[in-house]
Amino acid sequence: MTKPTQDEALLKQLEPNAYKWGFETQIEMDMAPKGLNEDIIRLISARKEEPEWMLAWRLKAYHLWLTMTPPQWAKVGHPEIDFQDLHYYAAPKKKKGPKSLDEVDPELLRTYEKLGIPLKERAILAGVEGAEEMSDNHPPVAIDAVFDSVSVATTFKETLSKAGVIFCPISEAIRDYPELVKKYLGSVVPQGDNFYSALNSAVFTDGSFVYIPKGVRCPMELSTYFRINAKNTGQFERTLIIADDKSTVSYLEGCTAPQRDENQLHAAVVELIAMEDAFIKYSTVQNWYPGDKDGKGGIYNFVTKRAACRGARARVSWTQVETGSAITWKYPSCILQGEGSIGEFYSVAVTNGHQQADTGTKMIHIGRNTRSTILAKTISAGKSDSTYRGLVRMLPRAKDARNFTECDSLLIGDQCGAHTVPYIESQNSSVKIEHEATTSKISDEQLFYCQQRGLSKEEAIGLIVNGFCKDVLKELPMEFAVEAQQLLQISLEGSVG
Amino acid sequence: MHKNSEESKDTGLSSLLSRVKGKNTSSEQEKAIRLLSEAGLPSRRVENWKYTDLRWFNQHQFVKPVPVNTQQVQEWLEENVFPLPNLSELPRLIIANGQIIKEFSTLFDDSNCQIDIKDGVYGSLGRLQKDIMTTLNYAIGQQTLQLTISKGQQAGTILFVYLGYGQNDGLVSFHHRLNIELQDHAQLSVIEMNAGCGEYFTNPVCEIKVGPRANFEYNKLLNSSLESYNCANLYVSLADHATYRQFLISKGSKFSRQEVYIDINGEWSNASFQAVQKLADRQHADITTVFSHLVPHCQSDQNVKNILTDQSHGVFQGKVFVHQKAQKTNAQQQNQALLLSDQAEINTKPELEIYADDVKCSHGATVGALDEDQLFFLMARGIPFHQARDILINAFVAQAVEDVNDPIAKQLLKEQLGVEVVEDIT
Repeated sequence: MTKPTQDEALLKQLEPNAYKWGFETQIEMDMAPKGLNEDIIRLISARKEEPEWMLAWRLKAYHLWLTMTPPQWAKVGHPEIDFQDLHYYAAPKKKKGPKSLDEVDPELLRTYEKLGIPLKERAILAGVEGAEEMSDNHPPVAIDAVFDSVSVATTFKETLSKAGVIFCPISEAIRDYPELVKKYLGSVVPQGDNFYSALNSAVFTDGSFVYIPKGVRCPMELSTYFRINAKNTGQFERTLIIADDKSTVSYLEGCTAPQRDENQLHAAVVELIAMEDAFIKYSTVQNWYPGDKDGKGGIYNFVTKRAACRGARARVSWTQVETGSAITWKYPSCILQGEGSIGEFYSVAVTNGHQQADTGTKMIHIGRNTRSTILAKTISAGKSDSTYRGLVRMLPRAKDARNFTECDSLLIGDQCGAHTVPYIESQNSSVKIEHEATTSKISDEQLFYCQQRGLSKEEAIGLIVNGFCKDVLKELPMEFAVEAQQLLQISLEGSVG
Repeated sequence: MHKNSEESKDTGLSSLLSRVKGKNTSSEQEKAIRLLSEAGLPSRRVENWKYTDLRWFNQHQFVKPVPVNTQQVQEWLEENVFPLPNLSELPRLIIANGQIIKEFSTLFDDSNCQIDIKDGVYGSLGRLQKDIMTTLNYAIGQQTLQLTISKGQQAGTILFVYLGYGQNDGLVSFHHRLNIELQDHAQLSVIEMNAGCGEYFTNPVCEIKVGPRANFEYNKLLNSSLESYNCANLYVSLADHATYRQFLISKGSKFSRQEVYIDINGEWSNASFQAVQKLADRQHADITTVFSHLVPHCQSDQNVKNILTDQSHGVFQGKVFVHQKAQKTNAQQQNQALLLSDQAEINTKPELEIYADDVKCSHGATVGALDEDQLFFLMARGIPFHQARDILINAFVAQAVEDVNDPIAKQLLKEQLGVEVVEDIT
């Protein structure tokens, strides 16, 4: 074995360092009692002032959920989740319309500050009147912030509405645009799709709704910020994005949670619908609390994300940087129905400490000439396990469809695991599918080369890891790319091996 | 034949199990029967059986084999083995409908191998709980054939022939058990031919222990009747510096599943698995492999090629497992599929499960039709389409049997693949 003492020292350094976003906000909360039953669903629906059809939709999902069992096939291990021991609704109590930043609940404000949200957006998020007209030098990014169960604020609504773009919390959309919601909600991820999507459909509390009308290029990046704050809550948000013919939108999602000893559940559903010639770019930087160095606490992130390319030449691109969560269970997928539609999946998953990640994608080729690209980079360190699980399915009508998949795993230390489980199914002789996967560690030569030129071992690893992930990081929008690089560095800090 | 009216309604698993119920059974057999009656057969919801459906099982009533007519066996041998001088000279073991046909088996006279025939099923490598077809073998199997190559013995090449003949009274089933042990420095090469006619089900289990520095080559030709069903499980355990090479050609059977489990238990050993599935009509063939690297410094490589025409369905599920201790592992896995018809279907799942960091592991999978540029290249030089197509298919499969060491086996496998046999110049 090569220099065990050095490796051990390195491993020690690799222990997850302090989670920067681990603070808790002391704020007055409005909470539903623990447990899940029809009454709770009625309560959620009533709090959200939802119409009758929505309640019926939720109850249908709830009854489906009761007949289902949690999926067992993923390579993750966790104690059974007691779904009755959770609060399904928690919202910060909000005072009406503060006039300036001084009147805003200072705790809420401090939270945004700590999260690094720019001042102007902070003011808007806290609901300060007239904040949108304040000027600063930041490039405009419209933000929808979801705090536990509710969306606290959405910024730049007016600018967006001038362009015809609808960007609002989904609870508002249910009230204001029932026709759109009725038509598309559950059309990509049906209520009974899987255990967690059924649960989400029954109890989802908020999330974002985006509609880009025909021929519109969304004038700014849209962004949602998710934060789980309250104890013993589960966050169930639902995002629905519809891009009509020839429209373009780029959407970012970020997440954090306080540091706690118990595990918390996050089960979201994201549905994307791209019509003819539309383009949706969906980027995620997922940084939920991963648990401490002994694997205690952390978020269970069980997410169903799916996109439907309904029209010809529609294009959906998923980009994700996954560094947080105790357990990640997530497969952003594309259903390529439209002729010539394109699905892309770019992913960097970093696991450290005792984290477990089972993530990947599904590309279902239905239409002719559809193509998909999958690029998955996995980095495991500490005692973590990460799995790439991906499906490529070519149906008989998908003439001349094309797929390229590349999965690379990097192992840091000998206590971790990296696994690749691709499923390739083809019912068509005119298609072309390629899949490649490699697993290796950081080569000693590369490390030596960097160190010899004066970089510390840590810097060298950061450099090499960033290089390893470059193909994916370059797909991220500018603002996120910088953040993601730093995040990678922090997640792997001291993990040099 | 001898069943009363109530029993004859039995189908599927229960008709199989009723065969052994109430007999004097060993504890292993009892355990297997209990497991099967409790769990039943796996459905497609079970991850390992995702692509292979066992529903046909319940559409049949299973029956015991009746003694085979040796005339039939002789005819088969006269047609397929005796005309080939190389093949006919090999020490051979002929098993027809689960019975050893001693008059044609010359292996018993061979001094290089020791053969033991024991009543009951014995083994040490199979996992009862997990591998359903092994459990079935334990439950129904009657005898174990034990073949030992003693220390330092160079046993050369031997021939196994498994023949199956369908019966009119139901689906006849055979559950052979073969254990092969190679001691230190021993060498053996096996050619196995599977053939037959009519409808039958074979469920053989084979265990191979390759001792330190021993060398084993296993060439298997699956050319069973196109109405037959085949579920074969193979377990291999390798000691240090051992070499294991397998070549498999799967052409026959209406339904076949080959499970291969290779445990690498000794350092510096080497395992290789090359297979070709050539399917037509409505054939379904499945190759499922698990290569477990449990110690450092070992190598493995897998190469599976599928050529699918008509409405055939090919499946490959391959897994490379690398234990945390197995540093310096070098594992390679490759799966290629050539779809020659629009109704053919391929499902593949090449899987890596890795817990050691200083390893080189890779896998690749490709699915596609013949390359149009290559076809054009040949046709532009005056070669008609069909011939050009055959040339490209030949090139695609020929590689799989290129590395067979045993010259007799190499020739046989090439012929079976329809690859032109070119004499080695060297």
